[in-house]
Amino acid sequence: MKKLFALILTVVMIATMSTTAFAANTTEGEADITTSIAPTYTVTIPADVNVQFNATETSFGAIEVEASQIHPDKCIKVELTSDGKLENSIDATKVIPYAIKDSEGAAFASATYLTEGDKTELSIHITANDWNAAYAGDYSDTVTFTVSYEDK
Amino acid sequence: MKKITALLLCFLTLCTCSVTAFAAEPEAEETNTVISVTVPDNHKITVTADSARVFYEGVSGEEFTVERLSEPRLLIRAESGKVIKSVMINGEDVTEELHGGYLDLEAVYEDKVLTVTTEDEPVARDDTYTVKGKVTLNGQPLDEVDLELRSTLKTTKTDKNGNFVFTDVEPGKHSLTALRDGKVIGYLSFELKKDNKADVVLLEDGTYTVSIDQNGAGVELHLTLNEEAGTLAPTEIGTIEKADPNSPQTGDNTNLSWWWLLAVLSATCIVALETLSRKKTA
Repeated sequence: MKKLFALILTVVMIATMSTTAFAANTTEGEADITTSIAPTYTVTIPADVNVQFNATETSFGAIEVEASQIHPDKCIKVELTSDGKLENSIDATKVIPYAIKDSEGAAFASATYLTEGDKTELSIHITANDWNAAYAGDYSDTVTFTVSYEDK
Repeated sequence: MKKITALLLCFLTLCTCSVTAFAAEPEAEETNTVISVTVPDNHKITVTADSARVFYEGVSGEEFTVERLSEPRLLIRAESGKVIKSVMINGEDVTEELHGGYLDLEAVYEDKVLTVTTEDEPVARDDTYTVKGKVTLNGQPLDEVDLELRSTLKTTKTDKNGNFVFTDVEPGKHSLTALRDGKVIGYLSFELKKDNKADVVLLEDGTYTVSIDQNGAGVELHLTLNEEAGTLAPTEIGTIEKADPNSPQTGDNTNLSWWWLLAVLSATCIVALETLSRKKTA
């Protein structure tokens, strides 16, 4: 029984041993201790906004990373999901198309952020033609910002 | 000894094991944001008109409220002695879009400013004519309708048979407005011209040329009211013949001295007969 116990212990030891590579002329042994610190970050996303009638460009605020402590191989990704159309509250067939663009005028879908202070200014664009064709009433749309921690 | 060996083995096992601490990675988070907008129900049309009036739905005003995306029809009428020179909507010249005095706007999607300018219209007063006729709606005479004729303002009212008469109408550009209870129900823009025969022609701009037979005393028009369009369309025209100068005329004031002499003779005869009659009785 004792032999069996010693044998099992030996197997366990071998199985759980770190593989340590020794330099040819080194005689020292090493034990790896790996640890990981949980990342922390705060991302500010745009708040609800009311677009003024006939405004072709309206500030939507900014996506901004605050207090970021993330792994060097990782990034914070913010994705935006929207229908791209404001729906009439009474008749959903009546819509006003819109686009969300970044400060360079490109349509915004997602962005990655690495350090504190990284941000993307967003704006809502509705063309004059779309305004002109819009029926009277209240319109709205819900956009979803998904914030995830991903590999670079 | 075996126990010590086992203990040593255990210790070695613990010492050589990797200690792996897994930190929990944040999960993806979703946050919703609402974008909202309100599109107004109506828009304002503000009028700036110099010597002209603008009517919407038969009523004149300086500011109209129209439903969003509606296509309002505005009547623009110059005051007496004036004609429309230009019509601007939000700074864009739309004078060419006037049709028979009416301006049909495209779907209104914003507030608008309508600016109307006019200019003097010279009036030839040497010859004047009579313009008379009948106003009908769906073939039936239209009675008790107020009619306003311009350039020189003249007003009348249709009788029970829909008939009307304007006298001393000078050639030139005119408008005829039909009103009921103060609201415009019909409008006709026309130019009265002397010609060889009576005729009426509809022009591209929606106005009419009404030609008068220069040998006649005026024209007789049959005007058909289209309530929906707000127009009075001349559908028939005739010439009013000049009266025979030799025939007795009502209100003839020529040779007044002869008339006075006749009156004096008549009075003398009456007095003489009365005197004779009294003498015989005595």
